[in-house]
Amino acid sequence: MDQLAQQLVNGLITGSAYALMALGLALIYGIMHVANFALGGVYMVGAFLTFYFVSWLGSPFYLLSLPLVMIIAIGLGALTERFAFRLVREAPHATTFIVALGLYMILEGGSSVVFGHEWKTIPSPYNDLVFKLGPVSVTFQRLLIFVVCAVLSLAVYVGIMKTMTGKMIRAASQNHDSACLIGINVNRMCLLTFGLGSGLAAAAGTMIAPTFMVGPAMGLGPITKAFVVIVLGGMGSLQGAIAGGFILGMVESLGAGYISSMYKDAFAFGILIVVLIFKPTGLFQR
Amino acid sequence: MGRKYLRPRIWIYLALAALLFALPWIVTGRYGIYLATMVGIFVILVISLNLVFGFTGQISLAHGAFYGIGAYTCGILQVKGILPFWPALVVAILFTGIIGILVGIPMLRTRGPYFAIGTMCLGIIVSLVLLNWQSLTGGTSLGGIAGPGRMNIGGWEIDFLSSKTYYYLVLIFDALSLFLIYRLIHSRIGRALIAIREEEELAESIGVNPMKFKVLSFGIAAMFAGLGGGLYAGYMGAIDPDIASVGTSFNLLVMVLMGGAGTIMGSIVGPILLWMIPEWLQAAQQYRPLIFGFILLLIIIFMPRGIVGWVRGLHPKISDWIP
Amino acid sequence: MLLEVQGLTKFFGGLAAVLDLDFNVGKGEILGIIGPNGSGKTTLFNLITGVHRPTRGNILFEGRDIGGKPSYHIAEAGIARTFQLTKLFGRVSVFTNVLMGLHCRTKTGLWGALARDGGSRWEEKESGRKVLDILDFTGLSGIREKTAELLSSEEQRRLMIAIALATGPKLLLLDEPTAGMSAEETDTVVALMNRMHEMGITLLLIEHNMKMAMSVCGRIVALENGTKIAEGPPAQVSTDERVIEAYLGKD
Repeated sequence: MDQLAQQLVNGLITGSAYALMALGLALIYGIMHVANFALGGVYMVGAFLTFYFVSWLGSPFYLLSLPLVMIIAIGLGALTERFAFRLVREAPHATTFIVALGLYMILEGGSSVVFGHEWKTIPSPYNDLVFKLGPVSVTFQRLLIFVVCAVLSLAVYVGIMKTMTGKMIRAASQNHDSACLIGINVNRMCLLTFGLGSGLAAAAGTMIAPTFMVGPAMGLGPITKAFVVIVLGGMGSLQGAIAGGFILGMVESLGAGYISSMYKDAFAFGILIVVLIFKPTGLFQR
Repeated sequence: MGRKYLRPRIWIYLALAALLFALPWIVTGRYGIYLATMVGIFVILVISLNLVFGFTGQISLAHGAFYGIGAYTCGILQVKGILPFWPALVVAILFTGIIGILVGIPMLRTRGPYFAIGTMCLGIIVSLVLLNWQSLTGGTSLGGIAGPGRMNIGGWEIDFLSSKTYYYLVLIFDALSLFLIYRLIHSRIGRALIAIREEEELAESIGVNPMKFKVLSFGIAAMFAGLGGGLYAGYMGAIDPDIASVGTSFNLLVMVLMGGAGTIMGSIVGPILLWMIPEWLQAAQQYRPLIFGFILLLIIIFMPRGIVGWVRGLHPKISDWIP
Repeated sequence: MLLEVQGLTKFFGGLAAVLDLDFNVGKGEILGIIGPNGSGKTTLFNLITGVHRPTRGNILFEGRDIGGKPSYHIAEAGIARTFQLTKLFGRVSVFTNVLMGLHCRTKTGLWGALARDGGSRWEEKESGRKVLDILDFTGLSGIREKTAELLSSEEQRRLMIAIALATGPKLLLLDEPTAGMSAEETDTVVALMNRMHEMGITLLLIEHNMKMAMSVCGRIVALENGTKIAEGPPAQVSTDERVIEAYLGKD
């Protein structure tokens, strides 16, 4: 019973990171209809930027890296839109996906060249602080992950749903051509969407980084899992992405605890394959 | 389209073939032969991926996994003393093909990015299993694969431990693979695959069963990937789970696209270029993923038909010369 | 009766695209389906050819129920179609396009493809011959090496028909084959339809052009909002009150 509670809490925590990442992906997929695999690279870049930030300024400044990393990531996302995705905007989905793959390879390859191959750790002051709530123990870092990811997810979700900009973005997604006609600056919406999605992915990377090792390939697993989440939660559905992220986190945690921790990563993928077998277009029709 | 076009074309191919056979004497040094052999193995992988991606239009990122399954099947059977190299190779081909069909049947019901991600997941699962099932796969590395060794065929002593000889072995399998896939493409089946790639709904309305042909091409491609894997295992003597990684699948995709998706010559040009470019740039191994990423991006945006595809598009007659 | 449609109904969400449709198509006829936009004509074709599954009702072809069967099965059974929005294998030649259509009437399999035995070689030659025949029949012989996407719109429509003919159909569904064509082009297509009719192919035609439909079709079924509002010889249907109202009201 105690173990169950611990597993569930761990699951919620990793789930919050998955939710954040999936939200970024769902935003871009739902609005731009681009399966942006490059977010895996952005996630990794976020973690690396945090690593260097903390190395230069010292670990007490860890949290300060978050807004900075996000800003850089938003810029990076906008760049990818402007110089890569925009060039293939009219192309079939297969093409845009391959563009995203290429970008991911560039990011992973590039960081491998710049930062080197070995995995690094980020010393965070919060890793050592441990809370105990009954049978469950949580490091402050992991609590932070949950708080930051959950808050960001909700903020972005509310922002997209309620604000004027958010509504314009959603209008642009309902019908690209009509939005153009109305005069909504589609280009700016595209830049914003890619930027925002990237910012979220990088934030997830920043938060996870201190609990994990940082390396060029660290984004592959998370982005693939984020895809699993949005397929399960409904491609492009923001609520589905958030909910799905948490659910995946918990399923993975329980699986790791009770079935096998070596094959932890395989659960998400196994679930995806099983779901695709029975419902080739995902659990929810868009 | 008459016989008179065949004559100059046949001479060109014969010249190329002669060049390839003379290669071990032109290129000296073990590294050169190693590169040539690896290119040869990758030609088999790339042309089979081209079958699935270039001709049938499905983005498969599972090919690295099939390569790995083939290599490990062949390797494990030898290391455990169950079968010697040649039967192990046959089993590897068949086993990988069966896995391809079994996995393909559910997965090919999905399209585009969904299918790509699904195949990627497969690749990750295979990598995990190869790494963690230590009793079977030896974990981080599987060594002691005997390979074809020395053989006596009809009175002739053939020493496969010599890298020159192994190169020729790979070359023979290359010729065989290219021949078979060329035949397949230029047949009723190949036309059905292309129909599916171009307009699946129209293809179905004229009687083409998309699932049957997608699974068929996926399974056949898997068999060739298994062949490539088995040849690799026999060549290196030791293998590790990295060969089945998603990274390999990415690299194969870059080779297909750069050479020319949907062309047979492209499946030769792609591996040659992508093994040679890092050499020419004198780039260290670590620059490879970065370079490949840029190449992928540039090709898909600016030259989506690849180099050979672009050349073929220049003039209709050229298509006759370059398959 | 070659084709019998009984109580055919198709709901998309809450919207009935086709509702309780009943009609028959006799062997060798040319039956026209008319109706204003959105009356369910293309949905009907999609239901017959297996693109959609019926929500209710039956579709019988030569007495066998084909409702809900996959499209490739229906092509094999002998029903072919053309599409309202031109669908072709754009990047290959006219010849190859028609050759694709022969798929369901040929049987070279994996062995034949790889081994090139006598049987498969013969089939390839025969197929080539048949394609030339069809190209002749549809007047496309002169441009048989041209890439399909480079053809004029009228040539592309004829090519669609040629591909459909290659499948050796007993019943051919034509979805607005003359839309946007000049009078001359329309005449070419009408002549083609008559030639096919003479060959014994039954034609089911969706046509927006009333005049053309009346001159070509032996019988007409008129649809509005997914239901049948009239059926009979052209003269009778064109003067039917409900039909006139449906067209005047909408157009």
